[in-house]
Amino acid sequence: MKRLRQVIVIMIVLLLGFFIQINFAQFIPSLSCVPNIMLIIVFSLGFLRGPKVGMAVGVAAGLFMDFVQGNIVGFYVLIFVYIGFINGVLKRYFISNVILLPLILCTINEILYHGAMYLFQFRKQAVHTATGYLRHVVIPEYLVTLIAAVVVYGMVLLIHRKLEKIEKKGETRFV
Amino acid sequence: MKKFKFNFFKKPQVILVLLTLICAGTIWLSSMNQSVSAPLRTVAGIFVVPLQRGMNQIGTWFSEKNQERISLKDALSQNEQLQKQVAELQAEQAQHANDDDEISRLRQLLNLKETYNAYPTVGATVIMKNSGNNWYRKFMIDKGTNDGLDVDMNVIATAGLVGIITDIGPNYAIVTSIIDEESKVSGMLRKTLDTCIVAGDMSAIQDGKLRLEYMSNNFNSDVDNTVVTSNVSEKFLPGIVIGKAVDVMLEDNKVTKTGYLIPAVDFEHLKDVLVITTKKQTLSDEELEKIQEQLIEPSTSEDEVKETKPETSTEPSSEETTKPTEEESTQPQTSASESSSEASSEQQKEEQSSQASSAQSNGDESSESPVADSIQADFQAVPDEE
Repeated sequence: MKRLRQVIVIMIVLLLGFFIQINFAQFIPSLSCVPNIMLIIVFSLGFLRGPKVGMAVGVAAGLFMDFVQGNIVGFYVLIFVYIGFINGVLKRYFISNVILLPLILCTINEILYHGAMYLFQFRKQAVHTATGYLRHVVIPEYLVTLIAAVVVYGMVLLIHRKLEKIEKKGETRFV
Repeated sequence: MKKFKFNFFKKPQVILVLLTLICAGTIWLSSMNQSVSAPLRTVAGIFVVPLQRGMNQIGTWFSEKNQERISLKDALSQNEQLQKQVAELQAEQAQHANDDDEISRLRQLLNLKETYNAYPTVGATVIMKNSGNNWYRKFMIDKGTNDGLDVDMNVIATAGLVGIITDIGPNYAIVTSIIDEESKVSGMLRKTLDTCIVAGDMSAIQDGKLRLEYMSNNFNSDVDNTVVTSNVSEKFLPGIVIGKAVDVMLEDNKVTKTGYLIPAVDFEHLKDVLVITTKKQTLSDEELEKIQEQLIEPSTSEDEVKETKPETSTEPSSEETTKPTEEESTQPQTSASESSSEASSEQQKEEQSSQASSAQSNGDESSESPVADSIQADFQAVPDEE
């Protein structure tokens, strides 16, 4: 029961995040690039709930992004699984703060994510276009994702606390 | 012993290694064969695509409201009218440019024009732009294998080339646009048939341009600088307008010229596109044969075209909307089953020329209608379809 509830809630969060990310440009037409909401969900759930949940969320989010990107299945799944796992491992060592933590986490995870994306490009011109990627893709997306991270992390934290409260209530009832 | 092993598999590190292996396996398999990701595509097609279509309609409603807020309603309708006018004028201009070329060309080139002036198309709407991340420029349209589309089909808009289908599901298709970093289109100047490469470039697209490379040394920007898809492209059908070449300068190697290309299509406001349902790969055999025949014996091929014309004029002039679906279903079947036999290639040639000439008689435009003009006619037919 507990696991089913968790799965359903996380799926709803992922679906919402996915559709917002895809249609973001339409609702705010003046934006040049889209915040990476799926990444925020993966790393925040991974950080709050541990490595196993982080990896599961990574698989689901990766499947969503793979579907939209076309061609190769497993590309985003691999990246997001590792991000979920690393953030889950970090759970032991840090206490969750509301404002500063999402910014730090976002920075680290964006570096990981973009580093992986850049490595996977496999182009012989890749070294020359590295600064191009930095200027036009990485920096704008990083800035927008930073702002979105505070908002989305706050919401995920709320959901996480609520889930914990319901689980704890269930446990105390049993006793 | 058994309990210990099961607990071992629940450790997160072990799960991580297992998932890495599974992912590497699926990446390798799906990069070789597209059918591996078929279950993902069907599931996505059932759950995600209809939701996305609904959200897209909401999104277009929002963006329209936003536009009305910014500019007056009158200005908006006037803008639409002017855009329609501009599209018509562009098509007309393309036709005149092609007429000029035909007058000054040899007779063999005149017969060549007839082979690719009317492609069968299917209309589609863009339901998702930029696929949700900023590394790739791919977008999703709402037609898929259920509507007869397939990978490697060219996608065009009224003005010119938009991209090529790279992934397809039952009711959606993902199109890689030509402004994507990975896209390289083989193009040629319409006037001189010099080939070049049109590549997407991240920094150039900020100014609304694409990179133009390996242009021949005798490019002269005073003459017409329209670039179309070339004959030697592997995946793109020939003769589709890509854009206008600008700022072309000599490279350090003093052999080729490099410059920029302003695309004919406005990628910011892409909404309705057309998918050409003929694939370059299936077209090449019969087209090559026809080209070779025309080069060697121009008179006999002309007789062949004249022979097929009276045959098809007696056909009932079916609507343009039913023709594409007919041709879609027959062409892939015939091209797949009979690959290299001569009788089948002749049959395909007849089909091709009959399709070309019947499309001409349907369209009721001038006899050598260029690609842009037929595209315009097809695009006007799309609202009737829906």
